[in-house]
Amino acid sequence: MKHVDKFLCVGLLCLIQFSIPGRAGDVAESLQSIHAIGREGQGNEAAMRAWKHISTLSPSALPELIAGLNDGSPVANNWIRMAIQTILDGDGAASSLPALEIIGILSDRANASAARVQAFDVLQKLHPEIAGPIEAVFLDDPALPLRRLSVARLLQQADDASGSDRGTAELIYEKALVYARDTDQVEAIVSALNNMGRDLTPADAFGFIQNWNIIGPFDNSGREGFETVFPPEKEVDFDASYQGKNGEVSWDAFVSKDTYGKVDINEAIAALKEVTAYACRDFYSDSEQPAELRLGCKNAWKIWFNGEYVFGRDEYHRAARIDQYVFPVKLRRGPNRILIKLCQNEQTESWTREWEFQFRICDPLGRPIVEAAHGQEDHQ
Amino acid sequence: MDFRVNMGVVVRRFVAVVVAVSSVATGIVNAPSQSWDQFRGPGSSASLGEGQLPLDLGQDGVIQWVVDLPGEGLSSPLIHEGRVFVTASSGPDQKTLHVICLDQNSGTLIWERSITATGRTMCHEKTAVAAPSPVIADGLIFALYSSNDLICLDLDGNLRWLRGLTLDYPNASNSLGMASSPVFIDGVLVAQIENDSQSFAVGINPENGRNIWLIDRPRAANWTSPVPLQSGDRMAVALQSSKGISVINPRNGDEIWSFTDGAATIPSSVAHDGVLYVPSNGITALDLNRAGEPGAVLWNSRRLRPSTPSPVIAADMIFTLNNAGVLTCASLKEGDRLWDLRLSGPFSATPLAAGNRLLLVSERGVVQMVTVTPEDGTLTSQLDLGEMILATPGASAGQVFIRSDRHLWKLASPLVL
Repeated sequence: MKHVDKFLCVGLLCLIQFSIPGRAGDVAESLQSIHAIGREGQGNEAAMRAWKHISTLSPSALPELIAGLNDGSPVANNWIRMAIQTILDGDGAASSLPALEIIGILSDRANASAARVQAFDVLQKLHPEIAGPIEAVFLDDPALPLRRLSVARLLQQADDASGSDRGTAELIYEKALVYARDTDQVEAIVSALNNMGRDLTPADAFGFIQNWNIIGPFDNSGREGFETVFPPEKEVDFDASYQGKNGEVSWDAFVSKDTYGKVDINEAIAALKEVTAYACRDFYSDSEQPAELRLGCKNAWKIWFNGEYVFGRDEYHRAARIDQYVFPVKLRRGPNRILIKLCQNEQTESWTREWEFQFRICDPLGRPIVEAAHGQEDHQ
Repeated sequence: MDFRVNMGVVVRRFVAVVVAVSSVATGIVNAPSQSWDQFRGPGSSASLGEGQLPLDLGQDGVIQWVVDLPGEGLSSPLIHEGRVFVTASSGPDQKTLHVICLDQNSGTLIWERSITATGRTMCHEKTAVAAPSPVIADGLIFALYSSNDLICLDLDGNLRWLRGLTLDYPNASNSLGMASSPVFIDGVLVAQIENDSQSFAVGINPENGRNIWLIDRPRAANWTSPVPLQSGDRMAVALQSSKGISVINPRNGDEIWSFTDGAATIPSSVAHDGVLYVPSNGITALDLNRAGEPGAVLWNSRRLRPSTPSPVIAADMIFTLNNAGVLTCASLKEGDRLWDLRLSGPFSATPLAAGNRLLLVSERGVVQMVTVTPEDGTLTSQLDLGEMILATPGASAGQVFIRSDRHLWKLASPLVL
């Protein structure tokens, strides 16, 4: 809690002149209406009435509104954000802001990221003299937009030091790499360390999984392979052989050597068109834990986790990037089976050659989970 | 959160930099207010009345003001009752979605609202999450983004409702980005959410943001925008896709008639005087009074090859811009090619037309004024804004509003506003 004390002190010093005004008593009911918004705009009418009410409240209601971001869906939270912005537009918002309460929300990591980021934004808008110094204390923060600020400061420090004190700069970059979660910041750090002679690949830094079992090709003529259930979707038997598009196919081990951890099916099987392949592996976890499957792929794909279908996209050759698709799951102790279906279409342009994917498993804050040694989980 | 400040970029937000001589000093009187309420303005035609463009882009003072924008965008500025409305996207992965409102005369910020994207924000580096243009109708502004977030505000920035369409339809996205601009017709907001995976068009009740209807659309990437039109004696909306044109009843989504000979997926159709000019096999002119019947195709010209910009009509001529930055003119009646004019391209923005003049903005930020006749086109003046510009401008009362990823400019003749 050292970091909390630090920015609470800064905040208290800056805010000693502020009083804490009272707040409206029926905010909770309005927030409840907004939280109740459902699919396809269900509940919008009640939310509209509630929004009219909360958007006319005084700044003293802001802590309760910000705390309302703890329980809201992404859409509901946007309704609440808009109300907060409307209140902040009012005359005298800065002078009547209950800043201590807002700092309290920001400092309490039990609050949701959305609430804490909103608290910081309010401070940054109305009291930048408080927000500025606080930026440095979020290095290990679970609210990733806040953590990004602290990492950015480290990167600036490293960059400043790189001209005169290379050793210090390298140490700062290494520290930043421990905490950085946003892909652009991780890539910037890896690039800087590479320029300093460090042998570190993005695949290492991001923790891409590079060892897979791959089988194919199956058919994808007319792009029908996406919906066709081929044998690996019915059973995964690494010793089995099946009739594929061009003959008998079986599972083969493949290890990607790509610096970005891309698993190239063209390399694993052959550069083919109108085909389908599967990649599969067991990921060993040393405990039951929340995790995220993070996939990047520009081919049509489907993914299954421990035998359950997770998601799929029938889109070809638009674009791919790191962590393009993120799916929360719960890892079980021991092996967790990942099965990915990868379809290649009929297009012949040079930019449609790729038949590949990039995959990692992270904790909910984006840190790659290190796979347990096989069998280790049984001895804990 | 102001990420520009966090990145150490010293930017004063929304502070107008008056480049030209002020209107007070020159005794300029504002022309009567006109609205530019949607992508390509009234009738989705990108056309203004005679004389409603600055006369000389090279004239001192033609830049009335320029302001900083809070983020990127390809959406058009809208102009309504003395205010300019712009959408933008900013921050890591462009996850912060903005709507801002500025004073038309001064460029001063009146209000700003922002939300956090609830859908996918991945897009090609040349586009932005704020790619679709918003639309203003019935005292409301509807702002749609590539992430499928849809915001409805009144014109003072008060929220009416929000939707996160990707949460409702989780596979509705394009990894290159979406760009179709919604339209408001017959009391319904009509949006095309079309892509390879989950493609649909939806009619939304402006009163509460809920669906009135939703229809499946071809599963293929599509960046074109719906076009409001009069089909026979009823209001209709043309939905364009790679399959062609489907004209639907905006009240219920029912198809009224269709044209199935294919169409482009980037430039949109334009309706004029009972004819729909479709980017299909070049340009195909469809008689709206005989729509759906044999003989509805008035003409087709493969020599008109619109690239990203939509075709535009002026002075009984139709104009297209190709990938090489060549402006091609054809007769509106027969589609006969009349002349070509190579301009400083390439172009993404649709040109604006007023009388016998066209205003074109290249991707390199060169604003070009061309005078057109059936015999030829003449570049009469130009202005280099020095930034990449992909958005179609907005215009009102002789004033043109052009936005880049960083700035919004107001251009107007210093003498005749």
